[in-house]
Amino acid sequence: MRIAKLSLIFFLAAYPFFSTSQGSSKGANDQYLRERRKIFSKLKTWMENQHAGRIYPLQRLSRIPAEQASESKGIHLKGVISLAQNEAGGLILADTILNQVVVLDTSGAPLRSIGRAGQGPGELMQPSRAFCGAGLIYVFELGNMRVQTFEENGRARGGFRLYKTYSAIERAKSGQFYAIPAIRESQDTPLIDKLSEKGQLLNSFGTCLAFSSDLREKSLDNAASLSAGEGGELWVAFKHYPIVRMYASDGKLMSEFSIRHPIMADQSAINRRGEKIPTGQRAPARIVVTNAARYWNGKLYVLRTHPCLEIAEIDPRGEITGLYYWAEDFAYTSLDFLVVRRSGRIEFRVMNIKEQKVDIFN
Amino acid sequence: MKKAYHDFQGEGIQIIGVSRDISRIQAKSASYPFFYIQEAYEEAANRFRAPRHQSAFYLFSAQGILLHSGLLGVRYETHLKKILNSCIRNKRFTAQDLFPRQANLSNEPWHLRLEEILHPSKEYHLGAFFNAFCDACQSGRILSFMKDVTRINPSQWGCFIVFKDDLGEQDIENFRSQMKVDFPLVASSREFKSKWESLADEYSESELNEIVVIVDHQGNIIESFGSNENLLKDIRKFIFSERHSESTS
Repeated sequence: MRIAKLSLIFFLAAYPFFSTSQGSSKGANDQYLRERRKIFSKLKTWMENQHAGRIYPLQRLSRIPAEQASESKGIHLKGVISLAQNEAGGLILADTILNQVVVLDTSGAPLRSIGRAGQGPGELMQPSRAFCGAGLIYVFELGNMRVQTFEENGRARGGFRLYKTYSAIERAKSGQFYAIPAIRESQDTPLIDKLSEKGQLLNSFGTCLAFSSDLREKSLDNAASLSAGEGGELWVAFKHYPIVRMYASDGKLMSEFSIRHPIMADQSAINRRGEKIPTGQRAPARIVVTNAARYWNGKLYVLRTHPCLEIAEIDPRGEITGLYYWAEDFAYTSLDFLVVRRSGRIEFRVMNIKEQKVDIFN
Repeated sequence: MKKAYHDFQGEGIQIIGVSRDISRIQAKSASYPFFYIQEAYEEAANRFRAPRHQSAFYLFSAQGILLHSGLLGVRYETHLKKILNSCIRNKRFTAQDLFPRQANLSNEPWHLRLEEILHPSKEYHLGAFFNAFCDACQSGRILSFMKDVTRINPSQWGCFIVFKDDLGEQDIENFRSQMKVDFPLVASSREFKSKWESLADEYSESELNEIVVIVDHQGNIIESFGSNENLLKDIRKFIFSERHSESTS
């Protein structure tokens, strides 16, 4: 046997990059849970005092893939952070780690997986979000910096390159894309870019939140979730502040309001002071005030996971009209969800990032 | 792991994988030998202070001396290969290997059409050669710098960008609109692309990306700068040196 002259040791990541609770010590975890329970108590008191009659505890009906391996139908998810739904009602899951897009039918059974790791046509690198429309699937790839189009049968149909780094992207029914630049070149860089269906920048609009003069901090201040309405309007829910804006399709600001919520206000105040929270594994981070937002059927739904899974239903004037929550897991992590109507009831399909399952709640 | 083994097996490299779940690596290991540690993952990770949320590597000499360590990038070709080349083979790409001073960009191997990239009234041009672009990376900072140079002294300085890959009209339009660029953007000739790729294969993709040249009004290379963390500082120093201060002050 030859004697090795060099040894190259690879430590392969134990947890996906977005996991926050695993790996921390038991003591730290206990303290974390105690704090969450305390905050939940405050949340519950506020809900009962201010929104009695509009509080809806959620029930988890099922999960995709199912808990039992025998019922999971061969679906293997590892790095899914977002959800989309095709016209038939099936789920589309873009997996940032396995570099594929999984298409499920309405029962949650896998129809096919699209793509494999790579840079060529039909290949994917860190696909972080998928959109559906006109019988096609549009995949936003962080790694390859492009939007690639696929037929539902998995055949690649081209796409376009992105040269700017976008922290969030949304596709309107018209086929145009709205995106938030992650890098702010100057103090007056607009909040949103509107791209044609072929990727040409059509216009940029919206003024940024200007809490910080530092460009990097300003980029963090202006991270947001985007959700396009039926009429082409765009809802912008800022990630680190309880602020929501609605823009018309031409970029005109139509409304802006702050969500009146005590926990969001507390978190927002910490972010305004520029304080960061330790994450245990990575660099300190801002507190996420709004994890995801979806506009559906005349209402804006805002998902949060601090202290527990909570979805606020908000009318276009900014009034909370419903509060849904699920307090059985204080370490619940999600960055995306869908709202659907099923048998006359609202149903939430929430991407549980930590456990890599789509949780169905109503 | 497999690529590192194949590229450096001649140098007697031994690959060791440490993972909580080695099964997926084992499935792909048929074509190369490697050792693995699974059960003692936590102990090993603690001893090495390895991050749990991003993969990392550690390169040791036969005497057990740590030569290099770092986080693993997304692609071997753009990241680890460069480090291994440098540490093991002492091999580094320099911009002069591809863009020697005095050479003319219309000649071999570049075959650029000067009329497409040079503005007849400008004394100097900054040219960037990209095989990939993103505004968050050095390429984005180079573009910002180019915009600054043309803004500060538009009468004497022009800019152009050469992309390794063929860009369709739509790609160019997208680049122009997204990045708000008004100077020439061209794709490399087939011959140059081939040369570019063979060098990227020999060295690493990252070293062949983000190369900047300064050329005179006839397309002769005055200076070339390879991708490194001091790239912009080096260019700025060169441009604002005595030799060019008249044109930029």
